Order: sequence, then structure tokens, then C-alpha cells
Amino acid sequence: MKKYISFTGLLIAAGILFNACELDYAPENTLVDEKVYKDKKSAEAALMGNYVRLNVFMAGAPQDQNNYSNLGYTWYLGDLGTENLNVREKSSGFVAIEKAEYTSSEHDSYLRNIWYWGYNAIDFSNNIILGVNRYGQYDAQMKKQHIAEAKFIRAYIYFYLLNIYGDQALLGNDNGDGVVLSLQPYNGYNPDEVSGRSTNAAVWSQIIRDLEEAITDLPAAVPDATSRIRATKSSAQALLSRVYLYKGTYKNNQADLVKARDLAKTVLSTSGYAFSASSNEFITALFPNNEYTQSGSYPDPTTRSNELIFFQPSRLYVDNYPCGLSYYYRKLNFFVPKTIENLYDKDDVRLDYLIWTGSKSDNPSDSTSMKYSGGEYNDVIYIRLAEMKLTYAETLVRTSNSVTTEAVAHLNDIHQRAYPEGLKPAPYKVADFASVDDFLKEVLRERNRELAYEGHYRWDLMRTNNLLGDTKMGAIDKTRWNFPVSDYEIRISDGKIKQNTGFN
Amino acid sequence: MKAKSILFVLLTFFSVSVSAQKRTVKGKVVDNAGNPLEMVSVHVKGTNVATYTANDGGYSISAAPSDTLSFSLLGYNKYFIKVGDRNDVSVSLKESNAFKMSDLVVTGYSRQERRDLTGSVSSVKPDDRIGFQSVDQLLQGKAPGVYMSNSSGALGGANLLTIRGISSIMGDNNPLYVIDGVPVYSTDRDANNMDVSGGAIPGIAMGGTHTGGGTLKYDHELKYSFERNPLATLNPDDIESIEILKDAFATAIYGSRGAAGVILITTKKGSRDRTQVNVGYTVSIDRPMGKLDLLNGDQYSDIYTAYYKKGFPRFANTDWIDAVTRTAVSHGVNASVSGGQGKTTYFISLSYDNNQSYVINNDMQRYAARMNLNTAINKYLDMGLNMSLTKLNNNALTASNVYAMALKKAPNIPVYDEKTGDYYYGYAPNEKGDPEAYNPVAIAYNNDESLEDTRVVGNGYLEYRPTSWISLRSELGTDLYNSFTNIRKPELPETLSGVIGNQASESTSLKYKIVVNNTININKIFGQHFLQGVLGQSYEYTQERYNSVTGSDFFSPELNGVGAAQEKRVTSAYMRQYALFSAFARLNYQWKHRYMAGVTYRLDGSSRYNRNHRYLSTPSFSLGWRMSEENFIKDNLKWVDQLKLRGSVGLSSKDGNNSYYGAQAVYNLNTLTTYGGHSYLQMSQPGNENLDWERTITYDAGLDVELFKGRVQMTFDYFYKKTTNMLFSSDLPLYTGYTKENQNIADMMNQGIDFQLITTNIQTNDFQWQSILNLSRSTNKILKLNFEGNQLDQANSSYKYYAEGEPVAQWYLHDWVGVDPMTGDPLWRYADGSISKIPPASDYARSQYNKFVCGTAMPDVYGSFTNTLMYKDFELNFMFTFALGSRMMNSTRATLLTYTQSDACNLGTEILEMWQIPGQQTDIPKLNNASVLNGYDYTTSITTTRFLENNSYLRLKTLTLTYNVPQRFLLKTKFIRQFRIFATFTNLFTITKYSGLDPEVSAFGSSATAAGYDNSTMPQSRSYQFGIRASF
Repeated sequence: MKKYISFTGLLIAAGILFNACELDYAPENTLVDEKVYKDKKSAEAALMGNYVRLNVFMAGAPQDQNNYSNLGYTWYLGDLGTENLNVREKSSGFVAIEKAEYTSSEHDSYLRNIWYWGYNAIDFSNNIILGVNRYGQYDAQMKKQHIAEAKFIRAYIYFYLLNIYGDQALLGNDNGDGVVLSLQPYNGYNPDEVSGRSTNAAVWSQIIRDLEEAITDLPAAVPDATSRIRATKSSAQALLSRVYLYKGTYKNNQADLVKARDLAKTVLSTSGYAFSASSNEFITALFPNNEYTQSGSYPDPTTRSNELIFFQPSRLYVDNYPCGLSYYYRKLNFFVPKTIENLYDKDDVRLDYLIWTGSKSDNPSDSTSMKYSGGEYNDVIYIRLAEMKLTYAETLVRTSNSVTTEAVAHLNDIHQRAYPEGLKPAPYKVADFASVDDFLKEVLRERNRELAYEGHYRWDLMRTNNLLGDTKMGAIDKTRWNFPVSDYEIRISDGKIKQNTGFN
Repeated sequence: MKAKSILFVLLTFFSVSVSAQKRTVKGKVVDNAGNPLEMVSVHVKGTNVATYTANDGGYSISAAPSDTLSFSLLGYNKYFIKVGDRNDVSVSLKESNAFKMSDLVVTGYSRQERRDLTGSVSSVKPDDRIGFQSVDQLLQGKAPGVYMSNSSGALGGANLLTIRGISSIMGDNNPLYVIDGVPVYSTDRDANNMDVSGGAIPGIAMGGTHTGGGTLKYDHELKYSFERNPLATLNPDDIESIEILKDAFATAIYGSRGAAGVILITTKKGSRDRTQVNVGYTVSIDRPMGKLDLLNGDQYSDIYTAYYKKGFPRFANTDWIDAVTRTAVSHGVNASVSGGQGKTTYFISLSYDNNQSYVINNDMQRYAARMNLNTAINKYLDMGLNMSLTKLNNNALTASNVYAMALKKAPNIPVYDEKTGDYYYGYAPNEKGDPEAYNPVAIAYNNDESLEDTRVVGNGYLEYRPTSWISLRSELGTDLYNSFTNIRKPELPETLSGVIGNQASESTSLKYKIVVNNTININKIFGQHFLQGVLGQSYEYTQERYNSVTGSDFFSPELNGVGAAQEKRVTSAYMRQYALFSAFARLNYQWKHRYMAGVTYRLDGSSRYNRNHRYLSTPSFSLGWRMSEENFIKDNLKWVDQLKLRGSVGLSSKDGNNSYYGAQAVYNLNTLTTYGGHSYLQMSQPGNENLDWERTITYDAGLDVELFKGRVQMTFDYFYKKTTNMLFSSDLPLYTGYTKENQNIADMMNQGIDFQLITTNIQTNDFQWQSILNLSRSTNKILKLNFEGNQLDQANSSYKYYAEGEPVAQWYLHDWVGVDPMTGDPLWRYADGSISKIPPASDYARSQYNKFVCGTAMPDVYGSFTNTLMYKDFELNFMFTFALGSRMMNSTRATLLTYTQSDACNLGTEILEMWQIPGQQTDIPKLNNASVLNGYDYTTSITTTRFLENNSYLRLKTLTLTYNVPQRFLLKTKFIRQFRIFATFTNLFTITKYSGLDPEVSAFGSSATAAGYDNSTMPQSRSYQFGIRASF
């Protein structure tokens, strides 16, 4: 009898012991936070995933498999609605931009998607920043670098979200509504804790803080041109220079402009980058023709310009990593108007070579830009030296309130390069500019000639209060130069997220 | 008073008068199987002379030749016999078909007397005269509150079974199945759906429009999948009884998994008394329930020529449905031995079933063995082992696809090439056709698509009873479920384009579940008090491994292992695991046999939830009042045998409503591309620490009544079930970085009644008539959904609509008005009430706005009506099942009216009734009408009311005729104790307005929210079974 009691007792005890088991099980073929950020290899792979999401937000990129997560709307917005790009009248997609009169269709499409993909990338950054801090068990310096890169990405996206959605953020409206600041990883939703928008000023500070912290921890060395797809100290400085330029121009905030100038100067003097004065640079290295047809073989241009500071790697030899900018190539919803010829001299390579027909099967009588010649398989250049030169020239003049030789020299570098040998015009001289404004107009015009279709023009027009007198932007009330927040976001937040002044 | 005295005097006189001739009559009482019956009351009719049988069934009583003896035992039909001049009156009693109200009922971790129950529990005893492929089919119409619908005529396919309505949107609405204490892998569409694409997916247009022409053909999940029924691996002949736990008090003991009900299956055990051998053989003949009227080859050519003007010459006349179907003949053999010796009892069974599908070259075999062994080590200690071993070979995975393709295949194409005698491949000479339906007959014969399941379900236990009222039990159970899927598609002629042949895939899944239960049961009576309870804990661990490889480009048909393929790759390989730790207790208390109270509590911890929401406690309470024990009933209502009022309230949930590791951020390596040469991780799922359990609170009020000495038995239950915290994939503010995520955001309620009435209408010696009526009603309403209050379901591609204030899983459709008799164009109703010939679906922006809520696939009322008539040795049993108020999307009909698609499918003959002259009244618009835009026919879209039909039905589900060879013949054989011959007819006729073949089918198998699509789905078969059962 006793024997059986103890036997049963033993059995039950064994059962309970067995039961005191695990309830923590991690999946086998996937990684969870603790594992991803533990070692350098997987943490870095997560960081690469974050760059992919940045690219999804900016210019469209394969998010999951070989598909496009969005169509590169953020990129298009730099030129859509300006004289640079005409919207096709029957296009269902972008017509509203021309008059800034957005319907529910835009609210449900790109206005919603840009916001969403931006925050999607930001959430990845937030996860990396927290995860590496919390779980990282590798070299401290490397951890700092990874966090710095994630902050660079986060700042990049907040900057563009602010440009697009901030209520006159580029028009010096510091107290206006910026965007929602989300700095912690998403971990479940509680409808009672919906966030509202922070002020433009708060978002500017967040962007600047992230970039300053990133600059401290990012590596100083400039890698080989083909590897400039990750943030370095100088690429963060270049981005921060752009941030200060956009922030300070409208109200002529000297403190901001000085910073923009000094950062541009630092980047220009960073060893590793080189500015080629040859007009062939556009053809062979910056924007080679990657056009292909399904039946034909792919071109394989391998030279990348040493002028590049930061770009999205989409050239053909990187398998299956297209950008989402095929709209340029196919001209379905918009096209480059004939009037673009007024911007350039006829010998300018940027007109002669970079403006072309693109796809011959879609809208063959219209033009597009060679910057996306193959439709999808072109690098998307985010930052390059030419921009820094023009920023430096502009801020030098804005901060000194006089046209200097140094500023004119940089302008000349850009202008002269665009012409083939033997066809170059006479260089600009200080005396050519009657006033500071004359120079600023010329440098901005040059900026447009050089950087058109690289996602800059609209923002330049906004920060300068349309100094160049773009007729399309000029026809729209200033409060509607920025975009409205998608109605969806206002609805789901029960009005806590408010609409921009111009769209109320 | 006076009358009573007279009666007494008369009776005395009568008994005295007959006592003059009375003598001692002896005999033996046995059951149908020849087992002796103990404690049978033997009574001389009209007297107070009575006795009971001994444990060998023997009795002796004094009676006169003119006396009638009555034999009665609870659970058996009463039997009367005139003594005559015999001295030996031996009888056999038939088991009563009415379920036994005083039975022991398995309630989860313990047993209770039915009369003591305060929860809602239905019991079902399987009938061995009807062949079932799986235990869920067996439950159709057997218990109120259980809705079972056969999803198709495919062998081994999953069926729809819900208990008391849909209680979750995202989750599985199938009940938890527990076999002899082991919760087993059961039906759940996500878990049992298999890819049968064979590797590469032929070029199909993914992401096609919602308003898709005809079928749900863009739905990859449907076209290339087979949802198997894991319950098909259990041999129904081994089942002793099935208990269905419905209300919260009953299910609370299964806590986090009880919200959709629990089905407890108890297998047969041996009896200590004697050895018994049972054998049975059944042959069954199956034909499809019906056949659709399709165009013949010439009519087909004419219609398509009229539409395309060219490219569809008259060529052959093939009836593809006839070509791919047959009369299926199936066999089933089973044998079991049970008995006991000394302290050990055993039950051993073997069975073999070979089922043919009515689709050619498709069949399924099941080999099953079971051994249940119990032994008493001593007075205090029992141990035992229950073990079943099954092998299921399902070679019928391709049947539904072949059937659907045969429906659509152009009839002007021959099966065989006249010249070569080979199969005729492709759709030439037609200009268009479905490249994949190159030849349904060839596909049926040449494709090898099969599934091999091996499964062991078993448990071993040790039970220790230190005193009469306490028992301790430890048990260890397991469910080992391994399966191998093999899909091979042969090489096809090179001339065939648009379809990929010469490919194969093999998948292996190894599932392993182990369950440990430790329980203490008490049963104690002291004075007027009765205490019954269980205290225990349980741990369950599951591990699942899955590997899948595909290969293509086999050098020769003889080299057909995937390893021999010239191109091969691993498509999936993973392991996952989860665990559930639980502690539970139940206490039932009774006072004076009248007043009952119960409390159950369970605590579950699941690895599927994040640490902060890991544990869930599910309490429940019940009260019962056995009014029939009260004197005011005893004295005044003598015809009331039993009257019990009961009520319960409690909480339950359903684990597994979210994916594994639901709350953690999950990253996957992108294996298809790199970021500038760097591999990268993508976050496939963000963290969601808020993810919590769904909570279902159920109120139940019930009444159990037994009247007129058991002639009338009735059970009535009202229930109200409210699920809160219900998961819904709901919209997020986009600044979170995500668009949708499962959130515990919704509320839903179900309410209804379960009603069962069992009556013995006629009971004489030679003739008995018994009826059982089961009636259930349940209504469902979403109380709260998401921030916009409604949403089209994106989760399961069945295009259902969810809205607050409406039942779950609505159809949300454009309203088809009919055909304008003047023009022959279709007419549509818009939300503003206007009628137009322009299809509302063609205006993409306003499309949703112009849709209407149109009802659901779940019936309002369903049930069954069963009658058993017994005359002497013959027994006739028939069951009608019915379901009222449900809707079905007849997507088959939509397909057979779609002539605009490039697959140029065959059409139903009703297309010939299309509008041709002004004034013609018809439902078929003219060819190429105003709703055919850009070659797209909006009139055949399945998101319109045109194809939504009321599929209410009344069906003669089964009819069984049995002949029991009388004991007097059997006794002569000395060794046959029982011999029965029977014929069972299934699905003999159906009364319905539904225009398709079978109003029961569902293309989405076991999914309750996606139910209600007849998508060229195989109808059930009409089946004729003949069998014998013998015991020795």
C-alpha cells in the first residue's frame, strides 16, 4: 500500500517536474529581436533592411521579394507640380498636384502611402536603435556605428516627411504642425494613446539631433564609389548641410545658413571624393544608358562616378534590386515638357544627352530624363558633390551678403562641366552679377539644371519663396505648397492628427 | 380511497385465483450480443410479483401460463412475453435508441452521472450501421447545437463543424477534439491545407479583381490546395461514445481552448465478463448526387462562335463529366476482440477501408488498429494503455480539381486522339481554352497526387484509489502525426503551352504532441451532501517539423524521385514548437439530491502569447435544481420522472487564434535579392505586446425533462455567448509604420437555443416507434469592430464583409435586378435606388459604396428528425437533416455562364435561354451585353446577388433497414451470438430551392467564416451501403 502511494507520488512529482518547462519558444527560421541584434552579422543585415526601407520610401525598392513596395512617389514629388514635369491630363494619379486640389483618390493613394512607407522605415530604425542598445553583444564601436546609421536613415525620412507634410515647414513656420514623432519601436496599438503631430520646430530639432549624433559615430573614411550605399560621416554632414539650407533659407536664418555652408565646405574638402570637370562624366559614370528590352541583353556599366556621396544601388549588376522610377521611362502619368529647352543652352549635355525619349512604345513623342533611362535599373543618386558645391556657393553668398570669387568659382565648376570641350561658354565673373539676388537666381537655376529629376526642385522653390518664379508653383497658394496629410490618418486618430492650414 | 381498496381486493383475488395454476418459470436475459444482463427487473404483469436477474442473467419467478412477463432495464427496450406452457423463458433485450439519461458522461478529466450535470453536454453513441469516413460526419444531426455540413464529395476532405455559432473571426471555429484524454491535431484550415501545385505555379493572374469573372479562380489558395481532414485517421468503429461540451461550465475545464466547444471521444473498452468477437463488412456504392446540364460540343461551338465570330469549330461531342466520373465501389472490413481475464480487460480492433472516389482513378485506403488494455494491479491501483495506429493513403487529392476541370472543359474536344489513340491534349482547334485543363481524364490517370498519413494516438495511465471516494490519476498521452505528400505531374507534349508538366514535389510533416495530465478525483457522499470534484494540472508540448522539396525537368518518367530531378530546390523547411501549461479544478456539490452548484477554474499559460499576456484564467459557475425531487412535484405531477433546471456562466477562449510567437518582432532573411551585395533582413512582423487572448463569456439556462416513465425526454437550452477582446486584423494609424495588425478590438455575440425531444411513440412487444427531434437556432451579431465599423475581409480571400450590428461574414454584393426584356441588357440597382444597365463594379471608386449586405452562409435554424421503427427483428431507421436561412454563392453557375474569359469554359445549358427578341422574359442577358466591358463580363461576377441563393434544405440523410437474425436461430449455431444484415442509403433525396447540385458544400473546407461557396465543388455522393455485423 505504502509502496503504491510513494510510487504514485513519484509519478506525479515527475509529471510536475516535467511541467515546469519552457513556455518561451522562438521560431526556427526567423529571428526575433534578441537574436537579431545580438551579433554583428545579423544586426548589420537588419540595418541593410533599413536601408532598403529608406529606398522604398524614397524611390521604390523591392521590399519583400522581387516586387515594388511603392512607386517612388517621394522622389517624384521633387519635380511634380513644377515646370520640370508635366502631368498627363488623363493620368489618374497625379493630376491633383498641379492645382493642389486633392481628392479622396489621392488621399487613399500616394498621400497615404508616402506617409506610411516613411514611418515603416522609421520603425525599422527605431527597432535597430533600441535593439542594438539592448541586446548587442559585439564590438562597442561597431554598435555605435550601426546605431548612427539607423539615426541617419531616420533623420533622412523625417526630413522628407517634414518637407512633404509639415505645415509650411520650409516657409519658416516653426510653430506649425510638423509630423508625428515616433522614436520607439512599434509594439502594439492602443487606440486611447493616439499621438498628434509635433511642431515643425520639434521635428527639425529631432532631425538635427539624429544627424549630429550620427556624425559623431559614423566612420570618417570615404569608401570606394561602388560602396557609397551606406552612411558615412561625410554623407551625414552633406545631408545635415541640406537640412540647414532648407530650414534657414526662407527666413534667412544666418545661424542655420552658416552651418549649411560650413558642412558643405567640410564635405567638399573630404578626401576620397573627386569632382570630374569632363562632360563625359554624365554619360559614362553618373547617368549611363541602362536601357534594356526584354529580348535584348542587359548593358553592364560598371563605372560609378567618384562624385557620389550616397545612392541607392540599382544598377543591373546588382540582381533584382530595381528602383520604382519606371514612370519616368514610360512617361505614363507625366513627362518632361518641351519648355525644358528654355532652361538649358543648346550645347548643354544635360539637355542634349540627359533629356531623351525613353520608352519608345509608351508616348514616343514625349521626353523624359536619362537619369532613369532603363526605367528601373538605375542607381538613384541621393547626394552628390555637385549639390554640395552649389549649396556652398549659395550659402557663401547668403551668409556674406556679397557675391564672392569663391562662390562664382564653384558655380562655374558646375556650369562649365556641362559642355563638351570646344563648346564651353565663357565662365561667369563676379562682375556679371549686379546684385546678390542675381547671383542667387543664377545659382538656383544652375541647381535646377544640374539636379532636375533628382528630387530637389520643389523644395528649392519652396524655401526660396519661389525666387525663380516657377509659374506652376506660383499659381498655387503658398499654404498649399506642402501636401495635405491623408484623410485616413485624421479619421483613425479621431481628429487628433490635424490637417494642414491650406487644406482645412 | 374506496376505489383503491376495491382494486386491491380485485388484485388479491386475481392473484389468488391464478396462483392455483402457477409454477416456477426460469430463464436467462441477454442483450443483443448475447451478453447476460444483470439486474433486469422481471415482473408478472398485473401482479406485484417481481424479481431481478442475477449476474449470469438468470432468474426464476412463479407465473401461470396465462401470465405475461415484463422485462425491463434502464437503457433497454421493455419486453413483454406470454409465459405459455414453457418452463424456460429466455429473452434478449434490445438496447434502447434513446440516449440513456442516467449514463455516465465523460466531462473532461472525470466522469459524472448525467442526472448530476449542471452544464450543457450532449452525448452521441455512434451507429455502426452507417459507414463514415470521419468522426465529424458521424455527428451530423446527432446533437442540438452542433452544425455539421459536408464540404464536398472529395475523399478525406475537411468538413465544416461548428458548435453554437461562430465565436471568432480570425481564429479557428472548429471545436477542440480530445480522444481518451489526449487533445489531438484537429480541423483547422490553416493547419491542414496542403499545397498541391507540384512546385512551380503556372502563370496565373494573381491579385485579379475582386469582381472576378465566374469562379474564385484567382484564388491560388483554392485552386492548388487540398484541405485534408485529420479526423479521417480515426476509425469510427472504435468509438464507444462522444460527448459534446457546449456551455462554459462544461468547456471551462478546457479553458483557453474551449470557446468553440469541445468534443470528447471515448473509445471502446473490454468487458470483464466475457470474450466477444465482432466482425463487420460493408460494401458501398457511390454515385455523384447529381449532374449539371452542360452544353454539348456543337452547342458549345455555336455559342462561342456567336461571341468571338470565329475560332470554335464543331469538332467532337464529349461529356467530360461522364468521362471523369464512375460508380464507385468501396469496401470496409473491421474486426474486434474484447474481453477480460482476471484483472485485465482488453479491446483490440483492426479495420481496413478502401474507398473509391466517384472521380476516376482516385481512392483512399485506411488501415487502423487499436488496442485498449486495462489492468488492476491490485485493489487500489489500475493501469492501462489506449493506443491506436492508423495509416491513411489518400490518392484522391486530384479528384476535386479533375471534377472542376471536367465541368469547364470544352465539350467539342475529344478525350482521345482518333489517329494515335493517345490522349488528346490541349484546346485546339478552339482558339481559346484553359491550358491547364489540357485533358481532365489524362490528369486523373497520369497525375500522381497522394497523401500518406501515419498516426499514433494513445495514452497510458496509472490510477490509484486509496479510498473509495478519492482517486489519483497520472496519464501520459501522445499524438504522433506524420504525413507525406507526393505530387507528381508527368511530362506533357511540347506543343502544349501555358502549363508546366514534368514536375514533382514532396512534403514531409512530422508532428509530435505530448500531453501529461495529473488529476485527483473525489466522489464523496456524507449525509445529505454529495461532493464531486477534480483537481489537476496538465502540460502539453507540440513540435512540428516540415520539409518540402520540389523538382522539375526529370530526365525520364522512370527517374521520378525528386532527388533525380535535374532542377530541384527546397521550398520549405522549418521546425516550430509550442507549449501549454495548465492547472484546473472543478467542484460540484449537491444537497439532498435537489440543489446543485458547481465551480470550475482553469489557468492556462501558452507559449503563443507574449510574457505579459501569457496566462489566462477561465472561471465558471453553475447552479442546478432537480425540481422532480421536490414533494410538490412528486405528489402532484406523478407523470414527471425527472425535471431539472440548470444555469451556468463562465469564460473560455481559443488558443491558436494568433500565429506562433504572435507578439514578437520577427525578421526573415531576404533570399531573393541583396542590398548592393549585402544580404538583408526584413521585418516580417512587428512586435505586438498588446496581443491578448480572446475572451468568450457564455450564459446558459437549461431544462432537462423526463416524463411518462421515460416515454418523453426533452432537453432545452438557451445560450448567450459574448466574445470580447476578439482578434481582428484591423487598421492602424499609419504613423506606427504598419497598415493592419491583429488587434483585440472586436466584440461579437451569439445567442440561440438547443432543443432535443425524444419520444417513444409506440411501444409494444413487436412494434416500437421512437422519434428524436433536434432543433437548434443561433444568431450572431458583431457588436464592435474597428474604427470604421466595417471591413471587407482581406484575410481569407473569400470576400466576406464585416460590419458592426450585422452577423459575421456577410456577403457584400452588387445588386442584380434582372434582364431588361426590351433590350436584353442586365439591370443593376444602385445604392440610391436607381436602376441602370451600367454595372456598379465598373466604377472602381464608387464600387464599394454601391454594394449591399446580403446575408451569411450560416443557417438560422438547423437540426434533424430521426425515427426508428422496430417490428420484430426488423428495424427501420431514417434521419432527415435540415438547415434553414443560409445562403450559398453558386459560383459554379457563375462559371458556367462566363463566356468572356480566355479559358472559354463550357457553359450550362441555361445559356441557351439567353435574351434574343424584345419582350422575352429571361434571366440570361443577351450575348455581349451592356455589362460586358473591355471583354470583361460583369454579369457573371460572384460579387453580385445574381448567384447568391437561399440554400435551405431538407434532406433524407440516411435510411437504414436492419434485420437482426433472431436469437432462436443463433442459439442453434452455438457460437454466433448476434448477426445483423443491413442496408443504408445516404443522401437519398433533398428538398431545396438551391439550383446547384448540393446545398451543403463549401469550397473553403472547415472555415466557418469563408463558408458558402460552391466553386465547382464536388457534390456529395448518393451512397448505397450493404453490410453485415456479427458477434461471436
